[in-house]
Amino acid sequence: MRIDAVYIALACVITWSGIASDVRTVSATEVTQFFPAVAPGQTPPQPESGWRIKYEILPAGSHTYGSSAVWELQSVEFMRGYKSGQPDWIRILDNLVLAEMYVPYYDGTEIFDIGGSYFFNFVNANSSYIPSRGVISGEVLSDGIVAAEVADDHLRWMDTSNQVRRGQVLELWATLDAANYRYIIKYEFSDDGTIRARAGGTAQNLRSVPVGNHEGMHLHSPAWRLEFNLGAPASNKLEVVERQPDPSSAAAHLVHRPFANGFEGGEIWNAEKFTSLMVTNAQTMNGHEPPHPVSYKLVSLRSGSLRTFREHTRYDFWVARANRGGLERRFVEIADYVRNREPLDGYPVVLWHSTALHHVPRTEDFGAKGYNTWDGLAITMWTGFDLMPHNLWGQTPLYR
Amino acid sequence: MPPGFGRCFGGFLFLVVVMPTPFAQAQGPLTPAEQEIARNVETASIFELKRNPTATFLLAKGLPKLRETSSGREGKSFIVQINGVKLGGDSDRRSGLVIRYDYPTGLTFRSLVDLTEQKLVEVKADLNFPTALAKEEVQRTTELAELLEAPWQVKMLAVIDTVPTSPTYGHRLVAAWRDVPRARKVLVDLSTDAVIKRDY
Repeated sequence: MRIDAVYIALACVITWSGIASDVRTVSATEVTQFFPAVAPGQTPPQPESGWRIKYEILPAGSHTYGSSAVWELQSVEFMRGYKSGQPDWIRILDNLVLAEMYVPYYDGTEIFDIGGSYFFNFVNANSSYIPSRGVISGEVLSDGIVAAEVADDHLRWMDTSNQVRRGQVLELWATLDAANYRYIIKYEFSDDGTIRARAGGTAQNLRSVPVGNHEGMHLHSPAWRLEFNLGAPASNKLEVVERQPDPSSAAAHLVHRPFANGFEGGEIWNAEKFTSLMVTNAQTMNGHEPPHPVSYKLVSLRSGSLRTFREHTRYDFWVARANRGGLERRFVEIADYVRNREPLDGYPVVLWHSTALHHVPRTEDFGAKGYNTWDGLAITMWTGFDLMPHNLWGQTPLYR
Repeated sequence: MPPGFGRCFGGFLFLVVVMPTPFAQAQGPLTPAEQEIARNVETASIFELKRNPTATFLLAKGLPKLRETSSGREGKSFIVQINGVKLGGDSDRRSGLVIRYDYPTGLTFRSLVDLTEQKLVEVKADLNFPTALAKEEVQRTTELAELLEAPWQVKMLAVIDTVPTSPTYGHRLVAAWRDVPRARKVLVDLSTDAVIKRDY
C-alpha cells in the first residue's frame, strides 16, 4: 500500500501578483503512468515499467527563466521493473525546462519568445487536441494546459525468430502562445526508459514578405535546461562521447572525455563525431552481472547548429554548477554563469542544450495568392533531443 | 500482482495536484510589500548609479545616440519585471531581481536586491538584452499603433535590431497588431516614439 499513498491528492493553489499581468495561479501536478497500458475499462497487466513526473506551469513574469511562462518538470522518476519484489524506482531528473526560444532573422533582428520579447502564456488545451482514435488513452490534465496521451510506439524490438514487441509511450505536451507563433513543447516517456524532448514551431509567420525574401527567413532555437539526479546529483560524472574515426580505414574508437575538461563551460556538437553527452553516476549501479553504473546519454536531433554574435550560441552544450538560487536560469546569460570556469567534480550541475529549426518560408506557409501571413500557416517543424538510458537496466528491457 | 498495484491503478494514467516543492517555495513569488521594497531600492540605486562617475563602465555599454531620441531626452526608464530569488545556494534569505529598460542608454539593468537588508547586492547592464515590455510601454505601443482595443485584443512582441549600421540599432522596437484576421502588423519604435513600418 506504500505506493497507493502517492496518489493521495493534496490540492494547493497559490497566487502570484506580477508586474505585467493580473493575479495568476501556480500549481504543481504529478502524473504516474505504468506500462503496459491498456484502454480505459480494461484490466491492466502487472506493470513492467512506469514513469512518475512532477511538473509546474510557471506563469509569465513569475520566474527567473525569462518573461514568458515555462513548463518546469521538477522530478522525473522511472520504474525499471522490480528489485526484491518491489518496484525499482530511480529518479532521473530534478529539472527539465524549455527555457528559451531564440529567433534570429536573416536581417539581423531578434526575438526571444521566452527570455524577453513579451509575457507569453500557455494555450488552454481542450478535448479537440486529443485524437479520437489512434491512442490508448488521452486527456487534458487538470491544469487545463498540459495534454497527456498514451500511445503505441511502434516496434520496441523484433527478434531473429521475427517475434515482436510493440512499445508504448506517454506523451505530455503543451503549447506556448507566442503572439503569431505557437510552440508545441512535448516530452515523450517511453516504456524502455527513454525520454524524448521535442519543440515544434507552427502558426503564422511574423512577416508578410514574398518567398525568397531574406526578411522572412529565420531560425527557432530552443534551449533546454536539465538537472540530472540518478541517485546522487553531486556524484554525477559528465562526459562527452565521440566517435573518433581512423582516416586510413573504416575503423574507429570511442572517446570518452570530461565535459570542458571538467570545468564549467561549453562544447560543440560535431556531426562527424556523433557527439553525445553521457551522465554517469558511479554510486547507482544496475542489476547486471557484473553491475554497471547507471548512465543516461543525451543525443541531439538537429539539422544544423546556430551561431550568431550572441555568446550563448557559441556552444551547443553548456554546463554550470547548480544551486545558485534562481539566478542562473536565463539562457542568454549562460556565458556569464560559466565565466569563472569552476571545477565540476563533486557538484550538482546544470546542463543546457540548444538545437535549431531553420525556417525558410515557402508557398506552403501562405494562401493561394500573395504572401499575407493570415492566409496560411507554417506547418509544424520539430527539433529536440533524446535521453537514452545507458546501463539503466540490467538486461534488455521488456524482453524476457 | 505485487503489493502496491491495486487493480484500479495498474494501466492508466494518474494525475494528482500536489504541494509546490520546497525549492519552488523558497524562490516563490514576492509579496506586494517585498515587491515595493525591491522597487524602491532598485529605483534609488539606479538613480545613484547614473550620477556616480565610478559606474561609467556600466553606462559605457549604452548607446550615446539614444540620448538624442525623444524617449531618451525624456529620460524614460521602466521597471519591467520583479521576481523573487534566493541570495545563495544555501541561503534562505529573500531577495528580488528587478529588470528595468532604460531609454537614454538602451540598457537593460538587472538589479539584485537583498530584501532583508533593503540594499542593492549587484547590478548588471547590457545593451540589446532581451527584455519584455513594461505596462507603460504596452500602453504607449497601443496608442502609437492606434490599437485602441483592450490589451487582450492586441498582440505584440519586442524586437531587437542587432545590426550596428542600422538606423534602429539598439532602439526599443515593438511589433504590434490587432488579434483579428488580416490585421496589419505595425512596427513601433518606442525610442523615437513613432511608427516606423505600417506593414511589417
